[in-house]
Amino acid sequence: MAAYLGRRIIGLVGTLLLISIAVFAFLNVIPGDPAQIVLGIDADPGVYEATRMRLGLDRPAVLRYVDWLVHALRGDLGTSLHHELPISTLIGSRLALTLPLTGMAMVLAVMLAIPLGVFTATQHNRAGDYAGRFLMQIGMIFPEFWVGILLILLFSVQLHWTPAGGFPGWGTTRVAIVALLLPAVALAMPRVAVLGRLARASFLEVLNERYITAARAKGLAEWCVLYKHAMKNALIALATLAGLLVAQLIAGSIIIENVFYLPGVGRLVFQAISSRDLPLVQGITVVIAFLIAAVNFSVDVIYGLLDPRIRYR
Amino acid sequence: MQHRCNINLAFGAGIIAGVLLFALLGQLYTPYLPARQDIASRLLPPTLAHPLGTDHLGRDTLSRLMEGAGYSLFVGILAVGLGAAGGTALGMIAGTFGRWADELVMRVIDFVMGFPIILLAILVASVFGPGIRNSMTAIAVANIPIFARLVRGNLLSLKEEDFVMAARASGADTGWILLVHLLPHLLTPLVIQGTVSLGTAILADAGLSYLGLGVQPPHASWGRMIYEARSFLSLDPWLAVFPGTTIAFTILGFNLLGDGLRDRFDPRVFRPSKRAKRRIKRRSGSP
Repeated sequence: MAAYLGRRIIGLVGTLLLISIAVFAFLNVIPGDPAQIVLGIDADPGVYEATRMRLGLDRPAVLRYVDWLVHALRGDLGTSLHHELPISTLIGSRLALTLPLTGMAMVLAVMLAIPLGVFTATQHNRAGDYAGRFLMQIGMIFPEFWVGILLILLFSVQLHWTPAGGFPGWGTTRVAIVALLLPAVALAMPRVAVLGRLARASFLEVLNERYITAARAKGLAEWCVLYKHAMKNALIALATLAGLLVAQLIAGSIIIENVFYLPGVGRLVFQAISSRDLPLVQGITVVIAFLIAAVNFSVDVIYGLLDPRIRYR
Repeated sequence: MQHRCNINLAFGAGIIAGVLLFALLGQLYTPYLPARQDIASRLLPPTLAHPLGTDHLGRDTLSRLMEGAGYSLFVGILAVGLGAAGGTALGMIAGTFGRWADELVMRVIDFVMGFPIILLAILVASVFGPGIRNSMTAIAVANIPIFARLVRGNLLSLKEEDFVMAARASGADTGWILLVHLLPHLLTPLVIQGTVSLGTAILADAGLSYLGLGVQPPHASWGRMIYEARSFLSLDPWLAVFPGTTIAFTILGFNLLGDGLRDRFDPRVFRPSKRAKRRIKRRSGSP
């Protein structure tokens, strides 16, 4: 296990370095002159010089990168040009919305997808299977932002049950969770379809195993066969998808936060593009990419714990 | 199984033909100019004069949907085409040269795959500004890994076939073998993956243009139309319903077509002949 863990950690560090280099190079080297992008073409020469100094453009890119990396490792991602605040503070306060939102969406997606997958697998090629697969096909074709808008139409405009957007803050947890409910459902919908399809496929495979027949033969209740015996093996196939799922959820939340006007990281990065706040864009993309890499890493580790075969590959 | 009528294929092809026709027609004729504003008839529900109603500036929704169809398909086809070309080239390098080239290419691909399209688009947009070319680039780059994996996987078994050895024996060089002898075998899986990718590309494009990172005003795009409808939901829900339905319908068409093609040909992996199988076995048996 130690060797496996060691390999994974080296892989993680390598990926993180690669991400930081790629993002830094993209935002600092490819544009030629970041100061010009920040200010536009017809900038005042004095302001231009000041911005150049502020971005540290009088120094070579490699030095700037090393400098940025060293600061980033200490949790200092620089200062936002537009907000005049430390970028790590900004991102931290926005993650307080984005992380719970993606977490809720993840829980929703898994809670809906697995029973759906089990149901369609047990009903294989019968009416229930076709109905479930039809539902999943429908779920896959709707863009999450449109689902969000339909939910607003139904629950806010027609029924007045929930607010149409915005976020009251974490003052009262119940109100906050209600505000995040519609966005989380919208975010989860397309994922349910994809995850459900995979769950169906892996359960179909597992249900053909002989140990399932044995479990049934000894008289176990069907739910116990499905959710205890079959689940364990079916979950291994699903766990690989978890990393990808989180990546998709975070990406989706960038759009969904803009549909529901939620002050999360997605809204922040969107505003950062409009205000041409390159240091902030850099900070956010690196943090999001780090989050995704970290999730992939933990999935790998859990995977190794669950299934000894993987450790020795 | 072979002889059963392929419903997915028929429906998918029908829908896509319809969408293509809709987009082509939109290039030649629209009931109104898509950007023409008419403040007097704003936020109209569907009427005879405006079959799908008008938006907050009095622009005709049907005309804008037709214009948007053109952009969506254009971005989708070009992005997937570029992604497929780049991915095929990379996959060929990885699958042909093996060893460190393979290792390197696969590492880069894993890296890009973990990077959501939208982050890529955000990076591109913040440097080069938002626009159709930049959203297309992001989608194309995100498609490269998918095609590279597909091509590499197929090549690994394909290159052990007798006809490759025959070509090599008759003096063909590697490039010639790849392009003339191997590429035709890759076409079917490429087309099927391309169909599926077109659906996801159009979905991604809709998301990016919702955020304003795609087609720029005054031109219409499906995603942007939904964005504009967001502010008028309580006044005119139709505005959000029509573009969304169009997107969903188009994606459904590509998904069905992809599923149908897969059922019809099922060549996700090239089926090696007996002799090639033996060779693959021997090769993997002696490292």
